[in-house]
Amino acid sequence: MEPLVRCNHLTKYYGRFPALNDVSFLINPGRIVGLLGPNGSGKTTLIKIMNSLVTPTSGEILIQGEKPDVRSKARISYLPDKLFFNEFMTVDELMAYYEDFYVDFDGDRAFELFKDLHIDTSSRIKSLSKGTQEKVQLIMIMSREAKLYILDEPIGGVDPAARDYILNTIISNYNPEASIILSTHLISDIERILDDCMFLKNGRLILYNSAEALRQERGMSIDEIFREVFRC
Amino acid sequence: MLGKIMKHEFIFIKRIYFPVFIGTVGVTLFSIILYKLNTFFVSKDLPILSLATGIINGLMMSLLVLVPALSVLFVIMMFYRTMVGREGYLTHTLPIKKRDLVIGKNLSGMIFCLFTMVVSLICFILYCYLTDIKLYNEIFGFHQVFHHLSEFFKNPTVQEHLLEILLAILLVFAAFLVQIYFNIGYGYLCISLGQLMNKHKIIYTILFWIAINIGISTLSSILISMISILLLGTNFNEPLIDFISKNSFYAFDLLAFAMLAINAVLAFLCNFFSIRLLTNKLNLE
Repeated sequence: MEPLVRCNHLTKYYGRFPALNDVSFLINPGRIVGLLGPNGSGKTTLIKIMNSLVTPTSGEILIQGEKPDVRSKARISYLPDKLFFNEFMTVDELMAYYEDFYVDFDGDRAFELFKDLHIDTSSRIKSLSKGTQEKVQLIMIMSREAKLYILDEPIGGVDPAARDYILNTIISNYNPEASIILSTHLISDIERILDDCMFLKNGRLILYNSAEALRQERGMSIDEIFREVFRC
Repeated sequence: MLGKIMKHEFIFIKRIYFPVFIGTVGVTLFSIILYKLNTFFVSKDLPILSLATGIINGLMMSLLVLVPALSVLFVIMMFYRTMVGREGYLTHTLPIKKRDLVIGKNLSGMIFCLFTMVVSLICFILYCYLTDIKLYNEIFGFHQVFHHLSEFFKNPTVQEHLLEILLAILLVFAAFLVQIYFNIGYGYLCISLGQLMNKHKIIYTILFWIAINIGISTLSSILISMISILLLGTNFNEPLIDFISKNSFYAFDLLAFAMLAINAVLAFLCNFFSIRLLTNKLNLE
């Protein structure tokens, strides 16, 4: 089986600062991978390289065996850690935008999810609360039939009740043959859904295994392993 | 994809600029009404009305000049926002080639800038026509323009060289369009260079704009000097100068074509390097 993501000796320097240092890994289809690490560990840089938003200093990343290009972008559904839509757009216009550019976007599914959340699709994104804006972003991302979902801090800025909704949306809406990379430092909230865990520290990949194997090996939850590994 | 990009660009532009257009047309109409009222009540000596007319007239003229002038800046700022700012996270993850993105944005920007000029021109003509101000009408009035045009085309020399004149007009218009395209593309290139830096991207964009501008100005000065020396500095090109003086219409066509060609080459270079930079050196940090 060809891995969905193959990362070979990836290094990224910002000036003299190494944001990523010789990172290599494989991600197989159908896995939910937690990309875990404290602030500044290189999670977002790694995600940006996967999405061709930043050019690596050396090394390469392959999506289904190909370097990131137009085709790989059509397979990846990416949720950044900030609001990335034009705030003056209405939710309806946003759906029309996605339908125009992504052939795998399921407008009906998105509309149903908006209806469930009582989000008025005729309202401008700017007029929505921050939490609702994040939900709109997530619904748009999860309404695609992508091969790889990359979610950068999807639950970072929302209340615990909204976190449950977001995690349920992720689990119930993703294509089972697809993989999800989920970056966060709120481990306890996402631990139950993770198949694999990837620990990044100072730009280096220090631990990568299945969540179950890590729990058995160390006799602790992922949250406890995180606290132990990244103890200040 | 180019069509889709342009469609959404126009939707974004419309959202911001449509109220500006409405405002410009509204101020023009208001200015016309005030002018008419002022003319109607001229015997009653109403200083407030005169003052209001003067202010609104000034505002209208400022808008008619500023709206098209700032449209290029607006388009360039929109490029920054959608390519290097927060919205870049969406733009650069769309399954679209960078070539389509840059050219689509540049083309829609050019059409929009041309549209703002047309709107301003229509407002101005409307104002001149409806207010019947003598000064404006002597220069821009419909009757005057048509009169001058008909006189011009009745001239036997003009009739003899009608094809060359029409070609020159066409070439000048094309050169003007490509000039707008280049101005926008030049802004895009500076943004594509500025985004390479990890910090102060806007400042670096402005610095690149200044540096390239100085470079192009210096280069064009050198080129013009060299051409002048080649053409006028020796007796070698006397036949050429003689030919130009005898065939001034062709010379004008040639000049218009040269303008078009230079602008087209510069626009191509700007797009080419912007696409290369955004494809190979994107730095959305």
